[in-house]
Amino acid sequence: MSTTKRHSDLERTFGKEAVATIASSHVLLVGAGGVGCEMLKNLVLLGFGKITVLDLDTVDLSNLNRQFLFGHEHIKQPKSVVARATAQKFNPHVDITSHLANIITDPKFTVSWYKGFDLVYNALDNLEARRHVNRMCLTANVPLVESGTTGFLGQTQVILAGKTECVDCVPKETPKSFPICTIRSTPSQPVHTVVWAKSFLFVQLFGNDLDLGEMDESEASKEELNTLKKETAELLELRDVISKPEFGKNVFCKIFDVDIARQAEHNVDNGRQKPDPQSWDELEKLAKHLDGAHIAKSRAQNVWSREEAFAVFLDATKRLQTRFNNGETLEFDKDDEDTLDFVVAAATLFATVHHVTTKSKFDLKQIAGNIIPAIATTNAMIAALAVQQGVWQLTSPERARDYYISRRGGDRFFTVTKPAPPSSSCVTSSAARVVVMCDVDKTKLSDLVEWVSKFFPKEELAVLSSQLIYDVDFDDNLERTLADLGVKERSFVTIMDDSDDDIKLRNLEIYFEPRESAGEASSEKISNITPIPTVPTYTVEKPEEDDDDDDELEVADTSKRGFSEIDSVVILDEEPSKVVKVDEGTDEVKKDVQVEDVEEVVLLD
Amino acid sequence: MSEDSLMQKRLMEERKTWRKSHPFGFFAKPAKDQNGNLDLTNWNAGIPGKEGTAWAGATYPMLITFPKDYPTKPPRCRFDAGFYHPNVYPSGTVCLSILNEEEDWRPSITLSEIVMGIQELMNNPNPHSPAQNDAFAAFQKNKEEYDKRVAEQVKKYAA
Ligand SMILES: [Zn+2]
Repeated sequence: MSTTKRHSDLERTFGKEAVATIASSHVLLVGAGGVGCEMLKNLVLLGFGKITVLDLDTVDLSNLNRQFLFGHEHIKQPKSVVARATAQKFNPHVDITSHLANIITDPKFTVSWYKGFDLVYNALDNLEARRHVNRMCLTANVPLVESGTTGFLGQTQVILAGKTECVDCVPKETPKSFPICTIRSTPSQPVHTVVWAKSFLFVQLFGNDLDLGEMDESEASKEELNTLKKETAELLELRDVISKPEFGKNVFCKIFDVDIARQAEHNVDNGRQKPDPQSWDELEKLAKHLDGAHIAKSRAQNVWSREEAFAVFLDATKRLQTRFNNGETLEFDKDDEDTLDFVVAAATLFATVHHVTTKSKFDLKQIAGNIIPAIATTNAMIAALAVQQGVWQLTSPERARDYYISRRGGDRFFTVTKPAPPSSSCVTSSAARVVVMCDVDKTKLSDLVEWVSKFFPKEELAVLSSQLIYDVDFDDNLERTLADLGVKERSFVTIMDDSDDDIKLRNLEIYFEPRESAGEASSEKISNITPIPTVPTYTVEKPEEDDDDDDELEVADTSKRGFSEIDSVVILDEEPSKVVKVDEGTDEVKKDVQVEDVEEVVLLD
Repeated sequence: MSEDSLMQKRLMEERKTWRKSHPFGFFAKPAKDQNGNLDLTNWNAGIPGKEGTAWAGATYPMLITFPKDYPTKPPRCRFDAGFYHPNVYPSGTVCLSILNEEEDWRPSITLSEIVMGIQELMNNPNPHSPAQNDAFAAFQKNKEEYDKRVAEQVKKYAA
């Protein structure tokens, strides 16, 4: 299609004025992965005047099936640079800038920098970066189009400060870490047995270093795992015989017989079925005619019996043993059959021991690799919808919508909603914000408190960075400088109402813009670059006093506090920032909002 | 950091609630960091042994660490390493159902409830979740030895 033809088509679709607006707009695209590549293509073809694309990653072989701006020859090159080069060819009139950079840590990306864009598109694969861009856009007051996909699910939403829901409005699922008590002695789900096999047993036997994946999500688990490591130092001793043929047998007997027998003996009646130690002699007899290597290959879709698992366990152990003895550093990789077979077989045996239902190698692989397949079609649809919403935001904002794609149960495929207002319980949305210029090396904490009290009129207020800097009960540092207290340029400080008042002020977030990007110096110690905000108030709901002081733990209904419990899903590609619940086949997407019809969708391309 | 904001809000509430009233004999306060600020994610606490039990007579120091996604996830509560109790790991970490995300942890559980739960656990160990061999084996099979070790520990922390 010629550029001219495309231009006239666009004018017919969007109108002359809209096309002119698009051509004069400067947009930021954060992320050039599965969704980002699709978006960049769409942005370029729509004729956005200036596009800045940012990614910190390099192209990997596994990207090529869905990230169409990259080819084999680009492997190991920066995604941002390659994406720019490829997309530029689609439309030479577009001015594309690329950054190989980390959006969170790179000092270039200040609030002032964000203010330079008409619109920001998020195409990110992790929550931390999403939340960061969300907060920066809210502070800079720049519209953000947020999007993500997980397998067949996808979502895109427009985020406007004070007007719509933000990334933090809906509680996010965080990857589950598994308490060591559960993993070791009371596993109850296939995922527990996989975590045990992969993050504990495999690492102990073949690992280099106790890099413990799921088990060190929180410090707590890491800590407890270290303990476990100590407790099972015997296991490490087994490494002494790793070069010998009896290694497999020794490992099996320790792990599935001796340790379990000990545990069964200690486990007093706690309502759980006692674990079943597995006898080497018995299984060896049962598995006599089984070929572990063959089972591992040919029965990947079936749940293995314990003797099949036994045969694969010994075979895979032998394979890993050989590699280990050849000096190879072994790491679990779902695509490394030897490591996968070992983990699947060990998890199956562990499940047998603990009476946990188990799954096929195919299913356990998904669990072990935390895989939810990234689907190019979902990415392409979401990217198209997201870019479309951005166009509406710039040209006729009243038309912008949130979109959800789902493909389960009897639900509708597309759900279209008007953007929801910010959640009143969202700390991020409800905060007032101001950008200031301030010499943090000279300004004292007392200066800041004094400055703030002009428009945050509370006696009892708290000042927080990632730490608590000041409150009524902690005024030690008033005469020290902000820099001394760890407050740097490019960072936020939160002012919190710490009073007992019935009507309280929301948080105030102060962003310290670097002086060089903030423009002319001021004689004031602290001067605001953005207008002084009016800090909103809210009425505190007093919880009912519980005056009886007994030791019983009263566990209140968690839903009252606005926390929701969400199933754990660990996601590989760009996940939706809003949780679309996927339990029991009911994909309910915000039932309470007005759902409009599907006819509204205008698909690009 | 925005990801900390919910956690901070809740911990400030806990700090205030604690300041206004807390169970008698207990203490809990955020630790100082290297800048001289208070680290809301690490609290130094003290759990007094319950009167009328073998644990009375000492206050046991404890470090309470709140993860980033608190209160969705529970804090970790740790006595000194080597603390003698059937449900305390050799590292000092307490194994208690209300501190376990997969068991009875709920975001609404307060700091007071946690420390009182731990005080309660001291004299009522849970035989179903052993965390160390030493104390567990003695508790099950050698009551005399167990009582002796508990008494020694009381003496150690009595000062
Ligand atoms: Zn929000």
